Amino acid sequence: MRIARPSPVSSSKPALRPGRFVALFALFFLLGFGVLLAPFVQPAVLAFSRGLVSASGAIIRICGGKVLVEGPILRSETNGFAVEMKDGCNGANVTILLWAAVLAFPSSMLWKAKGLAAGTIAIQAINFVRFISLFYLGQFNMTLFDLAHAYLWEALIMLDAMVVFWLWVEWGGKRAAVKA
Amino acid sequence: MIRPSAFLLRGSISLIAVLALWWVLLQNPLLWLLRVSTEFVFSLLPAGNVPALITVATDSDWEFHVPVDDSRTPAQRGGAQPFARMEFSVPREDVLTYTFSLPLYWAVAIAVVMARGVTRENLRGAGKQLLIGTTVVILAEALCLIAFAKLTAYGGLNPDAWSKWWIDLGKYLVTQVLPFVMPLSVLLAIHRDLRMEILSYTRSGTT
Repeated sequence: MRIARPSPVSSSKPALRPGRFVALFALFFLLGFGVLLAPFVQPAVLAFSRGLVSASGAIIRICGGKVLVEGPILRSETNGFAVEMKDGCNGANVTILLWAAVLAFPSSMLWKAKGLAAGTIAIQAINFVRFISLFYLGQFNMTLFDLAHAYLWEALIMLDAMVVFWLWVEWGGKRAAVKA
Repeated sequence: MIRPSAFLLRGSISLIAVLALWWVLLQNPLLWLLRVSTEFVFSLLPAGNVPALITVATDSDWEFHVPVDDSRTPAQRGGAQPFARMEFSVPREDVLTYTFSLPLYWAVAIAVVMARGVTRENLRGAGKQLLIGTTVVILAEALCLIAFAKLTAYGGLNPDAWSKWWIDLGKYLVTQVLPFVMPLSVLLAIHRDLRMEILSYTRSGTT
């Protein structure tokens, strides 16, 4: 026989209604991608991609590499090889998924805000590694580039986003346990 | 208890290994499985009674024959007869994306077992979960491909701007997002302990 009792105050595991979480996640997921693909958002997305490419170029130069930045295109000064950052390469997809999960999970607004900010920084850090590694991989072998670009990195960054969310939930739970 | 760092490390390693296996050996068998499962699922749907939704051309591209409900007015059709079917070709490389969900699911499912510890008890439970998850992913891949085919077909009927936006959103999700998100979602749906670990919850109000 099950006896209904409220969760202990000192528990580090908050009560979660899985059905509610899934429904809210789906709602924020659709809203996020709807906005991402809206025509009025495209100039901002392009500007964001260009910014990421400029930052990637700066990182490569700091590390001693020779690259040219031409808007959303990163080009090698040595052999002319170039990669263009298009939709999907700027980490926007994965960021939206992470935001949807953070917003759907029951927690305080402040903790959600920290999750959105820190999660975005984490995803973009991984995305820089992805973009720069693909830039050099393409100069080495195009078959490996295609494999890494279309499949491996896409899957890895999704996995990373899931783990980032997992860590945010875990740290939030530990904070709640300490406060209690 | 599964640690996030352990899961990420093992997941990344198993992903590289399974991806290599898929790239070298599994493409053609999984394409065949995708075609068979898609035809099967499509035949169960209303208006799915067609001789063949997909045929494979000599250059290995996939040709889709999608029944449509052409509800455009005669003026919108330019006086032509309503279309009963839309036919279009998709390069093999683009269809291949829909076979990647299965190796991705296998890779993360293996990572869960490795992160928990490879014991006889864990392996027994994992086998059953892997079978269920594989079946679900195969069906979900088929549904994604059917959605892509339907959206492409209706996109070819010159929809208005608002309908076109919905079609573009749908195609973006089923080609760029769902093939990668779906395996992780199936993993969480099937692996209860991993789900409870990540979402860090207890059943509220019960002991």
